[in-house]
Amino acid sequence: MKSKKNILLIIVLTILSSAAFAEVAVIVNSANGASISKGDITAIFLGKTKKFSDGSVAVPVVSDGAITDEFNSKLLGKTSSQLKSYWSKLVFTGKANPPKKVPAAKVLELIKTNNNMIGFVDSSAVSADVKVVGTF
Amino acid sequence: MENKKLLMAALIAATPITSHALDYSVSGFGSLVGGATTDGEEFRPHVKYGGGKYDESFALDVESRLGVQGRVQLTDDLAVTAQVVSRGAYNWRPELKWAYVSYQVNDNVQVKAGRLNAPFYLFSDFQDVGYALPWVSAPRNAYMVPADSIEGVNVITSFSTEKFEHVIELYAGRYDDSQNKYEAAELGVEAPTFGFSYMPTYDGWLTMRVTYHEVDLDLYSEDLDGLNAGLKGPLSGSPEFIANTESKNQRASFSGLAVKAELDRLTLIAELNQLEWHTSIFPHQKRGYISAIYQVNDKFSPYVTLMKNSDTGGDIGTITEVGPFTNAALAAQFGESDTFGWAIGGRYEIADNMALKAEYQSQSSDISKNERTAEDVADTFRVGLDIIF
Repeated sequence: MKSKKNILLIIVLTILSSAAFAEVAVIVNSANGASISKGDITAIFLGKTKKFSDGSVAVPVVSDGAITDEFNSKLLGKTSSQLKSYWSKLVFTGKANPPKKVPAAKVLELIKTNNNMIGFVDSSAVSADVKVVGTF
Repeated sequence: MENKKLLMAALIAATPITSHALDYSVSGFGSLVGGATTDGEEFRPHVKYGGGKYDESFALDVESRLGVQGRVQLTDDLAVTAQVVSRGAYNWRPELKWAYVSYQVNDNVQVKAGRLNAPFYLFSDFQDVGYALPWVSAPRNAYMVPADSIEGVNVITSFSTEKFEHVIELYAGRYDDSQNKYEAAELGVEAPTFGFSYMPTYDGWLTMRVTYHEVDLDLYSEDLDGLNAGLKGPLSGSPEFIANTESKNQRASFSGLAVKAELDRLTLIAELNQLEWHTSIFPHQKRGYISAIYQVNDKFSPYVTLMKNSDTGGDIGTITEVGPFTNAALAAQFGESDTFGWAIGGRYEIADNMALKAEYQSQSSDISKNERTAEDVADTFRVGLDIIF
């Protein structure tokens, strides 16, 4: 009985720790030369600015899943329901629309082929043909 | 009307541009709210939707509503937005709440023209979007202007300095709620108006707001017209009083102060709003609330709200031509009244786009002091389900 409990505990801890230690890599197209700070990333993903620091248009893309929750909590400081509420205020006042949502598997491909997009993936999934502007 | 024509012209002019690559989005929101009063009194949760009120029997149609908003991005800077809301209180008859063209002049300045939101309160912009509110509804007592849309133009400027973000909104236009003309006991309004709001936010957590609006109202009210007709004969010697009951050209101003502080898990919100009539017999209303919302965890956020109304009497005076009985009757209609209320409630996240809420609120008024029998002094229990899609 006791050993079963221990195994369960180990499984739970493993799941929790893998979720807690997933590292978010924020990525842009390799041709993007703008300097992008953590503050810039937050502003872009909260719709507060529509441009990179060099003046070019910024198009944020988001996906579903655990990495999105990490991103929301680490960079935006919001739970997913707080973020929904935040966006509903902007959407229904006509101020801004939330970032386009795409399947997680498509993010890398989109960033590779679009100069003005910015997205995030699990840092273990980053490939050499995109530029990492920060890991969190 | 002019604005509607402008809007149509803009839509028609824009159609060929968008026909090949239409960038559009559709979003919606809904709230199913049910409630009943527990003390046998009546409670109107929204000053404008006079047809809807709670009484002893549980009702779902008083505040429930469904809204759909469409936005078409014509160019990077130009967009058309329309929002249609249908309400149980109006037999679900769809109402065009907003329809405007917006132009993003630069990163800091946006101009809108068409049918717009009237920005009276801290929560004006999304008052109908229950999901975006921490409460079942924004504290009704302080949301007292019987109009919420204008037809006109507004300019929103936003910029940052040091640790502040500033938003300034200026607008001019006209109210037109005359569609409610002469529905039983309903107040219809037509009026030119202008106003502004200034909202600085410090360091992302402390928001302040100051706002002022002025309006010259033409009122449509069966009650007011009845009063006029009844008083004109006996009161021909009091032209000032007659002028104050006239339903045309009554100047009113609305001003408000608000503070919102987001302190980790605790959010404090307070508003103090004032509606003043410069010439009319209507009571001057000074009303406010303070609310504390505590986020226990990701799902559950209970709140407590205190509300206070301090309405001073309208410009009646004592009319010598009529006896004390009539004067007392006028005071009962337009005199001063103080009410106090409290509410306790909570929000629970059911899903990412759905929240369940419940609230009990109690209002009381000082009968020994009040000349006027205040409305909406009731104890009310409400539950609500808010969604966005």
